[in-house]
Amino acid sequence: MTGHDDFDRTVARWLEADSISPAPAEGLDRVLDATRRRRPRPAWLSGLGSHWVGEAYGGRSSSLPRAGLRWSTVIVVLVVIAALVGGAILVGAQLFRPSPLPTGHLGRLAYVLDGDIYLADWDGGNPVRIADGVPDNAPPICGSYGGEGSMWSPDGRHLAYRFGNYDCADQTVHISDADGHQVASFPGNGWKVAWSPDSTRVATWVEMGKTIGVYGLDGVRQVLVTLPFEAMGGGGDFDPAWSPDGRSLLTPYRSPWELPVDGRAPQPVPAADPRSKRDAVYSHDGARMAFVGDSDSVSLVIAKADGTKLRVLEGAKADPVYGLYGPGGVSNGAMYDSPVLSPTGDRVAFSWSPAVGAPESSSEIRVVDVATGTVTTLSRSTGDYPTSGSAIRFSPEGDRVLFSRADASGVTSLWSVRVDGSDARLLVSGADWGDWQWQPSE
Amino acid sequence: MQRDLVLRARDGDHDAFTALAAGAFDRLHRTARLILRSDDRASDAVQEALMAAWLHIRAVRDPDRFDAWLHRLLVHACYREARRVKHREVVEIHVSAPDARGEGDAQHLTAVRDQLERGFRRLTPEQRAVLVVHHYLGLPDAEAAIVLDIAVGTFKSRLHRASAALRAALEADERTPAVARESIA
Repeated sequence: MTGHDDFDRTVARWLEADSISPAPAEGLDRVLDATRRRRPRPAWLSGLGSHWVGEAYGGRSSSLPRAGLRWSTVIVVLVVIAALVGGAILVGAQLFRPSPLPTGHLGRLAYVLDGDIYLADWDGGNPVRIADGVPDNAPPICGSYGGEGSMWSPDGRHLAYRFGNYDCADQTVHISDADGHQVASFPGNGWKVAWSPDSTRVATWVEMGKTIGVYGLDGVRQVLVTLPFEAMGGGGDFDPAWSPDGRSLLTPYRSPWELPVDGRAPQPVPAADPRSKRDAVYSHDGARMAFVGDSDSVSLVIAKADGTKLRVLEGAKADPVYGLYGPGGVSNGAMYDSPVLSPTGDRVAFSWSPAVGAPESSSEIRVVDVATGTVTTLSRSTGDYPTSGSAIRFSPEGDRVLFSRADASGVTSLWSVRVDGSDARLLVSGADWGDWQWQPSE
Repeated sequence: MQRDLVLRARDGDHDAFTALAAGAFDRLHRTARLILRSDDRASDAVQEALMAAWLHIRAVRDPDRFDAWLHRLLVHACYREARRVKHREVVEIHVSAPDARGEGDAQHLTAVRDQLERGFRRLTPEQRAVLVVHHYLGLPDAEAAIVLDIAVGTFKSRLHRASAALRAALEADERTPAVARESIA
């Protein structure tokens, strides 16, 4: 099973062979008998997030909590919530005094379009192609350039992107200067190229799930980190990330390990450590972080860097019996994804979607004011290809957000909007990834 | 034909729904079994998906996409089922002797199957679902994305990542002593 085609064929054949035993017929009889005793719900009641989500059927109904609250209880709870919210706002206003803006201003937009890499003005104007590839999935396979995560270095002086699409066994990483002139290239697998906080190194898988290379801007490998045996295996799912202090790499979040690049011994990251959390991101000064909780809920958590929670936006909660998804295939609440902190840490942009599994999908790009908890919707998509929101970026001034969204036919474009939801602009149609340069002030 | 059945079922015709369910049941069960690696859990997931389909059949706006919608309900039922039993899972793995490979084609194929089985079990349910939807159901990318409730680009990315994870799991399996494999979840 060496080649991709051989591997795919082997997996397909095995799945086909593994599925040959027939399904038990009594299962169909049982469910038809159960459905015969029920009536379809009205269409309006099958909408997103409707109250039937927690309702059970069949033999499991006794396991689920019943909604039988008295009005007096509800009123008391509402009063308590109102008091808590008011207090939180007052305390939050004290806690979240914005730190000074980082020095810099909005520079150029780097983006991926049809397998090419472009540099343009921040609003997509005056594009210049700096890497010429072929569209993804077009022949020759493995002929496209791509980017994911932060393409620009934190100091805005260099750009990192990959050559080789998803189907390529051997990808390469390319580093260019701010004008798009290539300064280095080296082998490296994965998706995101991880820039060190000081912008002097990048980290990438050398061998997926086994070894990570740390390269300088000259393309010379400085360190080769070998994952401990216990950390190998199913860890090829996520790219390595730098710790905020730049002394370690972290990978991957489902079985997180801290891998020092200075000779110290690797060690597992405890599950309680905020660095192990899904989508963990840090503010520019490293003082605050945001992540998505995914053990007992899919909530957006904004915290101090040590994990002390400052604000939580409640998402889907895990039912003790059914987990995150209730009967009917609908999650028990909203889902959060891709949080990004503003430069000062006073706002968090994120992707939000309502209960998953309902007949109609939708997705939004939202931003929350951390001090007040005010949430503003910047973009909403419905249909089969809801907003991916995976390219969310703040401008250095924190006043605008860059994001990707897909139209009804699935074509992804880059957009920008002010954080108050005004002045939405289409930057590049057809582009599926982009990143704004934070140009240093000199 | 199926469109007519969906329209009738949407109007509350249980016989039409019975025909739809009977036509889809076997494939749904096989799909769920591949994702969950268990007959019992697959049965639970399929029953839950079909029950949900009946209860919410009136929300189906496009009858031609009933299959995709039904498979989406199934995938989410599988996710839920996987999480529900996550902490009390008893894994049954048939362990092949490492030196069995190479003694003959049949033994080699058995060893490969066992290795794939072990590797597949090391994946998350979401990763298994991506591979099953692509390799077993054979859906085009756009349709697979609908079934998995994700964007097309995300599907492509996840498919590659799931394949990479399976490769990594297989390679880790090759390094793992046979005795240790028995405890791998």
